[in-house]
Amino acid sequence: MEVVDGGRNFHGFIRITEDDKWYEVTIVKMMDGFVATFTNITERKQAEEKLRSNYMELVSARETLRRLNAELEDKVAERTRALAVSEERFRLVSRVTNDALWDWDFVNNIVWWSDTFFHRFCHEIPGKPPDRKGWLLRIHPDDRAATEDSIYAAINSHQTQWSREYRFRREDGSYASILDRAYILHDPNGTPYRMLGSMLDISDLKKATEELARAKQVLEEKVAERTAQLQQLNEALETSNHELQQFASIASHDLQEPLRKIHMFANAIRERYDGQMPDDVRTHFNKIVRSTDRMRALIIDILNFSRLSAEVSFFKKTDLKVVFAEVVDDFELNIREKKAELTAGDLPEIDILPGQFRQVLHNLISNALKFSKPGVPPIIRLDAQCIRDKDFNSPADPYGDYYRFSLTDNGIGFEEKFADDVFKLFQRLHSKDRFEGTGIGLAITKKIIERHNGAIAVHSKEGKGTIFEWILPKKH
Amino acid sequence: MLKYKKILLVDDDSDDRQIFEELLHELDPDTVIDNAENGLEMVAILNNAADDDLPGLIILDQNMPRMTGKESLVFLKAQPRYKNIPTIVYSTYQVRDFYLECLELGAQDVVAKPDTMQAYREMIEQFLVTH
Repeated sequence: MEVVDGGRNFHGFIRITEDDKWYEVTIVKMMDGFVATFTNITERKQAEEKLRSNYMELVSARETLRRLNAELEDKVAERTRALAVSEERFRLVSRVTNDALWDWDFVNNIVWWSDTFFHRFCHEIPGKPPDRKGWLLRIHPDDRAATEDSIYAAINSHQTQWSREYRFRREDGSYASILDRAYILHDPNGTPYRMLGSMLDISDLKKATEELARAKQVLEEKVAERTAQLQQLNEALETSNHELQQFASIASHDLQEPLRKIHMFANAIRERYDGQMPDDVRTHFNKIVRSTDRMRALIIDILNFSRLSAEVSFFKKTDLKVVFAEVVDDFELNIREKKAELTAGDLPEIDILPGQFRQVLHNLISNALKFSKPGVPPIIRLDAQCIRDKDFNSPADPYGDYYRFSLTDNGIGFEEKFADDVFKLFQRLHSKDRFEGTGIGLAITKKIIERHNGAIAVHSKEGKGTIFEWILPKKH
Repeated sequence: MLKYKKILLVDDDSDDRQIFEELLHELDPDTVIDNAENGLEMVAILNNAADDDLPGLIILDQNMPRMTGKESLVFLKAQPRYKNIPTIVYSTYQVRDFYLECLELGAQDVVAKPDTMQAYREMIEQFLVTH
């Protein structure tokens, strides 16, 4: 229409959709009409299209390539970093560890050594790291051949691991004890081509182990020596103890003999010449007799004391009411004389060495009567209480394993600070002129209580009285 | 009252032997007393005695050298010739175990040596009367 009305020419492309063909159309106005030429340009169009699409592909491919490249670079950077970290780690480890690391390339027969190797064993000569031969030459002559045989045997028999202990010379000429452990790498054909190992310096460990062994040996020797000494001492002690008992026994017998004679003959003279004796002679005679009596009492007590340890007797369940009654009977005369009052609470039946325990009660009651206040009738009381523990402060417990006994008197008492002394052999708190006695009774008492696995203690106040307390197990 | 013609006293203590003899003869001057100082001497005396001259009673002290009272007792009780002779052990050794042991071995009695003349006299009377 434009061509016709405007008088202008038209040039354009038309696509016929039916057959998907392109035509170039040129319309030129003529006088009274127009000329339209149609040129089939389908092929040209198609080529053009292909070119364009190819170009697009090229562009996108280049883009992809660039992206891949960037990714690759990232990856390389990342791997490089990782490698650096790994290398750093290896470097740190090889520096921190005492192991000298080595890497042996069989193909070129080159050995790489870690810093530790140079640091610990030989100074590095730049450019000239020791090879296998240099390494072998540093091994102690006595270990060298065996080590060499062993490493080549491992390689040649296609082992994957090798380890060996040997002595390796340090720069200063001294030898380090080495534990060398290595892996042998094989190529896909099974040919060994590389060996990686670490030389662990076990000198300190070895030294420590040896020292430990030596210390142990010394200790064992010492223990054996001390044991032998103790055994000897023990035997000596046993012998001496036995001898002592024998001595006490024999001595007291032999001492008794002449004493008996003195006593007897002095008495004989006194009996015969009593009426004719001047008073002072009679007094002297009485003194002789009294001294011999006292000496005899001492000897008999020593004999009893020494015999206690040797004596074999058996524990027997005994009614202490009966024992108490018997002991009270023994003192009947004394009790009547002093108008003493002896009572007991409820006394149990327990396992005792009857003869010995009787002596305990005898000694304690004898003391209570002896150390009474002049002119004051003694009041003596024995009590027993079942307790839980072998402890003077133990709470009462009717099902307990122990009995706590107490013997209370209203006698002259003594100062509490002497409480421990009274149980000592020959220890006396009063002069023998005032109170007769040998100073052995309470030592015997304590010994007997201890033979019963018991304990004894005393509390006293001067002028107020004394309490003996003792603990005995119910059963033996 | 006395039933032994002859007593053998075995004791190494001469004082004791003397006192024993004196007090015995106070009681009966006719009783013959033989003395031995220890067990070996006792054996010799007994072995040399004729059968009708053996003592009627043997008193043994315990503490003697060479052969003690207990050893002498064992010897006597093992010999048919002597085992029926009453034998008494006397000693300063006053231990219960010893006492029981001697009775077991066949002693007639075991007594403590007295320490007064009166007790001595009584002991000898006991020996002569009850055994």
